[in-house]
Amino acid sequence: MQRMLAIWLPNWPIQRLVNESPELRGRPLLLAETFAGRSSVAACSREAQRLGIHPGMPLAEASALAPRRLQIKPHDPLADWQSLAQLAHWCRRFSPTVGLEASDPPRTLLFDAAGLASLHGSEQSLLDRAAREMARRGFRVRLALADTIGAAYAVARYGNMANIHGRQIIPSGVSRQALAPLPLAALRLPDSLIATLAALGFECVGDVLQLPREQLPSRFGRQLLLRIDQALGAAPEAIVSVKQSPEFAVRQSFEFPLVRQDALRHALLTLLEKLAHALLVHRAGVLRLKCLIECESEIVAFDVGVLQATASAATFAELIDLQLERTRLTRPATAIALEVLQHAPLAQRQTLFFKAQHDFSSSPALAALVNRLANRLGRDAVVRCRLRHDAQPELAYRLERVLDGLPARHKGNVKRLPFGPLDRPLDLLKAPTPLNATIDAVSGLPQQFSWEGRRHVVNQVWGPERIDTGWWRRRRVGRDYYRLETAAGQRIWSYRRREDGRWFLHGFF
Amino acid sequence: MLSPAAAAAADLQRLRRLLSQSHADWSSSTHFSTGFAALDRLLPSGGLLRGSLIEWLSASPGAGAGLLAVAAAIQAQRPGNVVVVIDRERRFYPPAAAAWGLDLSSAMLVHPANLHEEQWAVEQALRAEHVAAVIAHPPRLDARTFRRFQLAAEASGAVGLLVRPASARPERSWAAARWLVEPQPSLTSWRLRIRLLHCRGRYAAESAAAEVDLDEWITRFDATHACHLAPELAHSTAR
Repeated sequence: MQRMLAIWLPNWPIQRLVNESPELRGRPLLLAETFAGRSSVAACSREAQRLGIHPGMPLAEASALAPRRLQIKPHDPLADWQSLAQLAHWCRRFSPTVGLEASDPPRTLLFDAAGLASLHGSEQSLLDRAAREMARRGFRVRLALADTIGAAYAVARYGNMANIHGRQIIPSGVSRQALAPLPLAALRLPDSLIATLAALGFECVGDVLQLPREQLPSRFGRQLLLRIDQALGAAPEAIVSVKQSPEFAVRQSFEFPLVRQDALRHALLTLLEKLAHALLVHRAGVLRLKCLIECESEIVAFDVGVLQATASAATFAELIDLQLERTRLTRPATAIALEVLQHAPLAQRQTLFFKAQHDFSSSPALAALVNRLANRLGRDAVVRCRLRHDAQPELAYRLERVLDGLPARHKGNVKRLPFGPLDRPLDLLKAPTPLNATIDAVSGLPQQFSWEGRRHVVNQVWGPERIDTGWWRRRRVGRDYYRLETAAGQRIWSYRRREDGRWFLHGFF
Repeated sequence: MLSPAAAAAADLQRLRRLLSQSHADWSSSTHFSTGFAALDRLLPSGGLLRGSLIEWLSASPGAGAGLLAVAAAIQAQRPGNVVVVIDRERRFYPPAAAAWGLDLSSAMLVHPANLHEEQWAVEQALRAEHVAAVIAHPPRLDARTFRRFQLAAEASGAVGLLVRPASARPERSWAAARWLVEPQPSLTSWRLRIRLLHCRGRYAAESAAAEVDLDEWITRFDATHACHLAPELAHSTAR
């Protein structure tokens, strides 16, 4: 006999976000999505609903209702799905088969509960335990146990559970009676079909169940009959179980704390080899690895990452060595643990047909260089540059970490530079420095200036090149740039700020 | 492991390369132009040598030494190789380098936090294969570090382009060529007076100097890199 448990997580995108960042709890929160250039509310918290906000509302209208207190976050369906899949994974403690509801986006976890009652004492205690554990993790849920997936889903989602703490058991064989009073949406029908049925005066599942079966497909299509049969157990339906992704972690504690660096290194290498072996079985390679060294009073932790997935223990041993050179262990080590943070299949790399961008992994020597530099100097210290269309010189390019690989899309790539070879300085100061200059009264241009304690006479001036970023920028920039040549032949890039006429030095050619 | 025969062949190739570096004769696999005919004429082999270090000393910022180094890096660049810019002070401005002709898609920028890390990064980059050139601005270099850079470059075939203040002039140099860049005040184009202070294979007595017009680079660059309508095809054997 089949028994199914459904756990519905109402308003999942909000629940997930609040669960991840608890400081958002109890605050008016909304998730915004943009579709075809129009921003609207995808989901909102109860506190936001009390302010009059509802899903589907234009974002501008919603933010006008509570301009100050409202928290606006981007809607992230992928993260919602991933978190739910993770939760399903965690739920494997209750049942060997756990899956997500097959609709898009899923909001319900489904468990195969057949034969589990005897393990937990009774069906009620299974339900109570699941509800308790979910509440402990901070999730608001409604649970229902029934004969079929369809019935359990319908009751969990639409059943009246006001005075039974959101948990209901439908005893075996009474699905029909339990489903009858529920609204039509409980049958998991498309919106258009529900609208058609509603227009004909059908309000609840019971109304549809009274219709003669043989007329249903010809009048409403096959789906209605299929859903009814699934809910009543006449048609089979199976849970699609969430796949388990293997976790790779190894740990070794020492009987005697290790003092010597070479002994530690040897232990690390042994552990890495063990990890590499586990990975090879799954044909996977490591992209990022977390390394924890537990010492007597502290834990030293660091990440190492590589450009291309690798299962070679030697590569990681070298990179960990580079980190160990920088972090001095003051106390003897008692244990080491390695945990794979990110892994990828060890597949053959596809070669690029068009050489649009060098990804630095085409040559093993270059990949090794990137790994070494990024692990010693930091992931942010090894970058590639992408030019951007921006008038403000400081913002005319963006740095991207090489270790992150190539971005999926190249949006807004600059094909043609809007300036010539000698129009921009090769050496741009991090921040413009005020120029202590003597200004010619007639031309309004600098005649002399001092820089680093020396006076420089201006010989020649080219310009101005006006750079104005426009009013829509929060910090508007209006500058007249001039190239100055000093009597010594140096060339500098300086500008006059248009608001107050002050001069600044911005770079050297 | 390499078989003994393959190892011997690899050794032989390495020795051949070393030999060609000492007995310089021009070919694009061992030499490249500075980008300026006037400077090439000063060099005994008519160009700069791969697998060596080149120093550009400049008395003050804004003298144009950095532009010459980038021009040399562009000349040294080969398909499939990258140019590494080690930028400790975070003042390298990529849009200007791109306007000057550097292909940013095959350039890598490294930001070391201090002098010690900078030296380490320069040596690592010089030692790596498939690095065409390394641009760095080390203010001080002790003789041992300098020598290590030189050995690293020689081993990999990368070019180290070091842009340094003129105060580094008394320091002992392991560079194959050392230039002093002095800007010239001019009314029309930007002219630099460049002195070759020292060059391998050239007598120290004969001090050489040339005047370089940066506009020469621009016209030359425009002619050779006119326009790519279709993206360049990747090398078919790239892995």
